[in-house]
Amino acid sequence: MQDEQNLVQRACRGDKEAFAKLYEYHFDRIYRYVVMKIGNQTEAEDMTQRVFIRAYEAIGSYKSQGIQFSAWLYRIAHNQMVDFVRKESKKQTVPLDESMPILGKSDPEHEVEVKIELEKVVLASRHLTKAQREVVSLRFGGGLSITEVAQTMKKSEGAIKALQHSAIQALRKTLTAGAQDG
Amino acid sequence: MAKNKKFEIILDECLELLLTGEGTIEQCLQRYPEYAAELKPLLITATSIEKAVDVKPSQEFKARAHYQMQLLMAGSAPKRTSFWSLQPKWVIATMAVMVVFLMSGGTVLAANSSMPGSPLYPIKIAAENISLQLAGSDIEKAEIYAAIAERRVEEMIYVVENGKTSYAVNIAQKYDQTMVALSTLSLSTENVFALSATGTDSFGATENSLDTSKQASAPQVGLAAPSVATGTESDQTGDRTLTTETVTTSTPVPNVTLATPGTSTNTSNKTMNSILTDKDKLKQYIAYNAVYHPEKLQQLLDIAPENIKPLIRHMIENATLDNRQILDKLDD
Repeated sequence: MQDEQNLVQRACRGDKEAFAKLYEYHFDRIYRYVVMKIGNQTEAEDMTQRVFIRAYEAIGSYKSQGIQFSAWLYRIAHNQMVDFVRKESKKQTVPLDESMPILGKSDPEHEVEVKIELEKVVLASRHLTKAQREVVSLRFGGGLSITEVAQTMKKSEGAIKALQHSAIQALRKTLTAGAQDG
Repeated sequence: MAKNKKFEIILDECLELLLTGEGTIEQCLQRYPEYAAELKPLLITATSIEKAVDVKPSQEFKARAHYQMQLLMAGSAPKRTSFWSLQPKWVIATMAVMVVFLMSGGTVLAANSSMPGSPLYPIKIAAENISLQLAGSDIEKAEIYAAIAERRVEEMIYVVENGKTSYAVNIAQKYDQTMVALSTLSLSTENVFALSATGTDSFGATENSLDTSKQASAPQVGLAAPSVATGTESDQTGDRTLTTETVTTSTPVPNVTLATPGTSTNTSNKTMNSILTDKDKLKQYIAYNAVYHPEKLQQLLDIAPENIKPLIRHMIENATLDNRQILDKLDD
């Protein structure tokens, strides 16, 4: 994002316009990341909003963190999801929402097609380790770079690349098996 | 092991190209033919994942979420709300008249040139707030903010030169608040947190925006500022070694005079031409401050105690970034 650092500095000092621009830029990405992690559109909407409310409340404390803004924001999202998963774990499984996902396009055929594909990926990602799943969600859902993922997960870039490799391998295996079964 | 690490690096390089749309699977395979067999299935899977997660929140949800955020931001600013912003205009005007009545002309002048630590300094702060409240337009308000910012720089110079550094934090905070308010004001035609009348997402729209002039006034707690021409103050601070005359700039120093309480400029009958002239004058002033503030503060670093230097550097950073951004906005 162009000039993000400047926007973040201004937002830290209470500039609402600057925060609004950051919100606008990151909103869809955070939503995608959350959807990919929890597979429930209704919860994803609520959670996405909670992430930004939390970020707005805490933006004043961001300055001293020493990490990129996106990494800071995704850590907030991750923490929100930890709470969510903790609650949902009591229900054994996290159901895929019936209406997931709502798309920005109005082509019903396309919507159904993407919905099926997303369901497959979300289900397949449940076979990954927590760390692998986090990498895939941040990289593909959030669109973060390896550096940003590394900062978010507090791991080295080398470790993230290794996790990315093993995650895609595992997803391929699961998705291919699913396709053969189906 | 080393081979595996090399492959992970190559895989990531290819993924980066695919995810950013800067390359295709074929191009990656051509670039690394020796790894093509291993790369291909993984890149195909990665492309499938990317397509599958290319979801967007519904417009209804976005509109609702943005509206909620808008309310949150309007209702709970990170900075506290000003006493002055809570008062109706007539209360401000009455208070302004009282201030003028209670103070002789000489006292007003003395207060306006007072420095932190002076018994008259709180009156100066009050007068600045009243000037802001009585401003008739955003442009007028912006000119006042610019003058206030200049005063804070002068005050920082004064406290450093006179060893009164206990006031430095307060001055730096006030400068910070003033610059944020000024930049928010100048952005009033670009409010990105506006929803259209139909409720659909219209972030970045210039119509139906919130009244950012009201938003901008909210965080201006305790903002201090002057009610006489800013040029006179530096003349009255006597023993300074750093004066405005030492600043070398090609930008002419504008002669902005802040409204004295009770003598607000009536802008209601201004013609379009005079408004444009005011905007030009503001641009000139901001351009001057963009040079003047960092330069004066930079010079101050040579004589400032070590514990004050971070504050001054912070002010330099803000002065550079904010003034430049405001100028960009005014040029749009």
